[in-house]
Amino acid sequence: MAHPNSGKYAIVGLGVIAGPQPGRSERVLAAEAARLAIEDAGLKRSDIDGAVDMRGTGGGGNKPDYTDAFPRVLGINNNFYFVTGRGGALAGLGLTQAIGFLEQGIANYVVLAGSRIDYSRSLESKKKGHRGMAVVEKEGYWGKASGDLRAVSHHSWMAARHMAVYGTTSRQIGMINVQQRAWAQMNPEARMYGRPMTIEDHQASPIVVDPYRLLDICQISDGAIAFILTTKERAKDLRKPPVYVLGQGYSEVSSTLWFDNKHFEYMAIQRARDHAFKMAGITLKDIDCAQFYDCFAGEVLFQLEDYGWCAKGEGGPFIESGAIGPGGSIPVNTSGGLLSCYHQGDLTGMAEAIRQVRGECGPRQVKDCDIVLQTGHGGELLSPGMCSIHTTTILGRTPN
Amino acid sequence: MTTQDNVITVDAEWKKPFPNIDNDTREFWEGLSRHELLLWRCKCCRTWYWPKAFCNKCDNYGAFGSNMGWENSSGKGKIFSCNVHHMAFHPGFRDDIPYAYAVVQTEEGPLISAMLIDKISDPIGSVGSPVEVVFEDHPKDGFTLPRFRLVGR
Repeated sequence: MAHPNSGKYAIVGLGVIAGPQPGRSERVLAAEAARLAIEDAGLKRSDIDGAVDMRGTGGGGNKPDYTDAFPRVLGINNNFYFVTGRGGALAGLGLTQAIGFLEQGIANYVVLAGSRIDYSRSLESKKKGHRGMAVVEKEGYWGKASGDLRAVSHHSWMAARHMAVYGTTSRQIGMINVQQRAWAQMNPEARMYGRPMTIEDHQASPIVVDPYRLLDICQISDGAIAFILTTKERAKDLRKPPVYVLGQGYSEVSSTLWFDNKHFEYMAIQRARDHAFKMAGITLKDIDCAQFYDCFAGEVLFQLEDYGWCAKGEGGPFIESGAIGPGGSIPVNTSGGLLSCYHQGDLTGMAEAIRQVRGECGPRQVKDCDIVLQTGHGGELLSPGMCSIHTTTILGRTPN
Repeated sequence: MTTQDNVITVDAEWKKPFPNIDNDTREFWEGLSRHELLLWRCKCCRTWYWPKAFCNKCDNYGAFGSNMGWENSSGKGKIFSCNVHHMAFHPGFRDDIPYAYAVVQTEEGPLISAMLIDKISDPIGSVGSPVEVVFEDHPKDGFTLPRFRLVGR
């Protein structure tokens, strides 16, 4: 039995800008994605009366160093604007907050947009001798003097711990991106489209932070994604089929982050999953495909176990069986994900979830796709603590 | 650079990112300068914590930290998880790679992360290995960095 709020709100428009965007600012990219989303919904800019900016202001993300924002550039007459997001947890947080404004009658159509120029910034940073993401200095960031310089410096501990405790192998972990890359070959928007990959390619790729090889690590991307949220009633008469928000859930484990060692073997999923599934009135078997936040391959391994597609410790053989790729029992990250499509935080998965529910995915379309799981993950990355927030969003074709 | 017992003194100027020493963590860093690895401990139930937390076990509703404080630890532990960096993301680490960056579970319980002294080739195989703290003094820059080394091999 679903919660009365399940399916009360719907996503009605989507705008995506992918690929390197040299010379363009994040606000211009966000405004352009927002314009595309408005057009996709069959709305006008004057219809939009609320705006949310999804920026990864937590752990690995931006500091608020901006003095101008996309709604001004876009030229909308919005009643409110704010910034939300923690690391890779953007869309899940933005959705609930936007729903609050719709619920209060403060807005009818909210545009939520996220953008980044991390790829262009990393090219500049590389000239100064840095590698990877450009941003280094973080207040309170514990380990940087000890060599903890990038997300991979501590995220790789999760994979290492899993390998040490459960005997998971580098090949099994490599099979995650092999399968996501197979999906990406059916997605012309993916950065890795036209570049298929085998497990041998994975094993031959350079070790960046052992046990992670280059092909276990997500991309650094430019681009922007925006979507429009409105009420179920307003969603009915628009250009595209509504994508209903059936369930949402959140977990926060910061209070035990440096106390409970299970955070190296489990992600903060349980409460988020339980709440979202209960709200949507679904079980695991109702989910037709999963769009996980996959900053690193290990996050996919952990989520498969923690959501319950396989038992704890059995993720390696489950992945190796081909379960998550085309033709597998649970299609995962069908756009290619952060590993093989692009890194727009959890907006990568949100865009794909919207498209799968709408049936717009062409050759990679999951058959009879009614219900999609999308996740976000992030937080203040203070090693030895890992990401403390997890968000679960269930989207579907029919309202409850 | 001189090494004495469990102290390393580095005379060269520090060319890497500096540790964040703020008012919340100053005592911890001062402890390191005295060659003590301090951990945060509940005065009621004696549970140990990684720097700064209310006690998760006691109903401690006093002012922040009123029932907790820093205490010296054994400086011993085991590798809980570990990786080996083959890439220097910051130019200051070019001479260190490949370096092992480990999460150590202290004997007292809390996890702490540090760069290992040892060069290791198998981070997965190192999990569970006993380690002890080494204090790396940087007199020119006025701080001491905690590091760990493998023991009993």
